[in-house]
Amino acid sequence: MSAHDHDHDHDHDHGVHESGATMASRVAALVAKLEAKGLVTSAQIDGAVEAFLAKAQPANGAALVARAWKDPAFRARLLGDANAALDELGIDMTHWARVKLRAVENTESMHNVIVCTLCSCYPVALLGPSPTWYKSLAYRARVVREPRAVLEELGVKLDPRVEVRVWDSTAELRYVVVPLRPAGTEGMSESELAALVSRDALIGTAVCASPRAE
Amino acid sequence: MFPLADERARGEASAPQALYSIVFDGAEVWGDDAPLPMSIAADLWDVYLDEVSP
Repeated sequence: MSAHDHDHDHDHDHGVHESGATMASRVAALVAKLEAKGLVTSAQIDGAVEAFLAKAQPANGAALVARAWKDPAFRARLLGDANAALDELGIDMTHWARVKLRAVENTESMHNVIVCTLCSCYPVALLGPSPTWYKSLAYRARVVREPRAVLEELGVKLDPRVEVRVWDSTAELRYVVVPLRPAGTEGMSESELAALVSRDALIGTAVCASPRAE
Repeated sequence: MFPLADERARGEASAPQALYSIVFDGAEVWGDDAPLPMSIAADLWDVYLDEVSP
């Protein structure tokens, strides 16, 4: 676990722990009602969640980015219609409803970062379950107010001339960041490239390190 | 085109409407102490937008 995860877990203990507990008890109450009415069983809910999460991994987002880095035509299709690009790779973003995905690309002059200021909208199918800090009030409030400071705390050092663009997700539209391809990766295969793409880089709270710099 | 989240949350029928990703410069939102260069892209339904006088 990185230092940055630790810092956020720490914030979480003092910040949103209560609302987390409230949410868990609300979900439990809702499930109990549905069970009492004979509409669903806990086993059915567990099965649906497990089936969805089994396919929902950051490796999906990483594969998408690696393909875009290798294949300019795919990159153009990804930026133009991300859902169609997902279909090409056989990645299913549908669980209970089909969600529209938009890929936003980092450039030498623009760094993108995603947030859901309202709640915790997040492309789970591409990134796996969201980290606790993504749902924290601190991240949701601060990243729109002082994104450069938040990124710096997370170890992302940007040139002062690089614009930071914060994408606020909604229930209808999810975002994924296409990070900059690091230097020194020219001869790498798609799977080698995918290994360089972390979950946080797909959120925009990290960058992809050059393999030579490790 | 997307149904309006506000109406769906109330369990009402919702006619799909345009959802725009609108980019605001940091200074437009936060004024003089915005940590520029920064911008915020917000997804706003058609009904949220008011026409400005030309």
